[in-house]
Amino acid sequence: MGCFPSKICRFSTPGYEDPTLLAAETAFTVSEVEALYELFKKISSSIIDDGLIHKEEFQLAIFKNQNRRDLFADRIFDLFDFKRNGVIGFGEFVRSLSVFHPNAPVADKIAFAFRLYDLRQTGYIEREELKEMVLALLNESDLILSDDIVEMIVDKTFDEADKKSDGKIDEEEWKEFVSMNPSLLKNMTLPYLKDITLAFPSFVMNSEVEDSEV
Amino acid sequence: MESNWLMKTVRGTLRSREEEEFSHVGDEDSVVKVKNIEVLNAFHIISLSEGFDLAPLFEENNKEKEQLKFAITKPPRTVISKLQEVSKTSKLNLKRSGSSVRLQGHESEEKGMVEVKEACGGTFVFNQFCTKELRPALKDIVLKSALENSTIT
Repeated sequence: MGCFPSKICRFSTPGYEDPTLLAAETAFTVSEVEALYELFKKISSSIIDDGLIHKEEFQLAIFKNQNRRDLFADRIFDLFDFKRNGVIGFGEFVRSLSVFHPNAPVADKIAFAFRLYDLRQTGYIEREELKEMVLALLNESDLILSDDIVEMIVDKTFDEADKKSDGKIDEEEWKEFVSMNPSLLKNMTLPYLKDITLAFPSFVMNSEVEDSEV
Repeated sequence: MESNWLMKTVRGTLRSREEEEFSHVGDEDSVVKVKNIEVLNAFHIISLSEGFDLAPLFEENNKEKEQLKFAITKPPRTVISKLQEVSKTSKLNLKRSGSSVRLQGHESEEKGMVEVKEACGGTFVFNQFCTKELRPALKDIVLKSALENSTIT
């Protein structure tokens, strides 16, 4: 397929992937993928205009501050960057956001959350990792709690989640724990992903699907 | 002839998570029942991080979200009744949804939302989108609590 000067040619745009393919593999429709492309272009050109989302651009988009470092944003970035090349391409962006779609399978959300919290990617959420994350959150919020209270919170959580009492939470224990506390998955769903086409209308004259039928 | 190049002028507003939660709740003027207060575990606390909140990716405007979070050792009931006092004096509407309390001004811009959650015998008060009226009132609760009960370190 060649590029026609009368239409916006997207094939030469770096990072672009066929929306029909992405829609087939994710919870998004073709229009939603096209809308996400508008969003992706905005974020990926904010500092370095190369069609890829760099860490600073991600931080800029989330915190309005490109230099703000945050443990949790780092985890999200690393998980989105599943090719592990230090940048988020359009395909990675769409496929990762798909997990947050209200229609995405709950099993995917549970698995994603587990990998998010498994800071050192050992396949387990260790007690130290959990404490580290609690401390990071308190620090971020300028909340001060005594170490005793933090220990107590972590202990109570671990007592409930670590059924095998081996000092770490494996994926099976995590699934069980989430089924008892479903609100833990609340941050794994972004309801407005359903409205994405309203917020980011696509400027393409005809959709990709129509083109291919010509 | 209508050009397909015309941008659609209908732009939906992206509703925040909090707005979704409160859209079905009516005003509550009577005694606030302190029931079903979520008991937080460590993962709940972590999930409150701004780093996990991808909403700003989708927001068009650069509205600064003023967030205040603090922990006090008073029971949620006390905090909620203080908020009721605030809502009466500052003419804000108070709405409850589960463990969250929302104070809303008459203009859609001025909103204050306070979430009161309990964890390990302490109370976490998280406040987002704080108005000028709310900030001093909430700080007042924290200060009073700090003076009366010096278990906050």
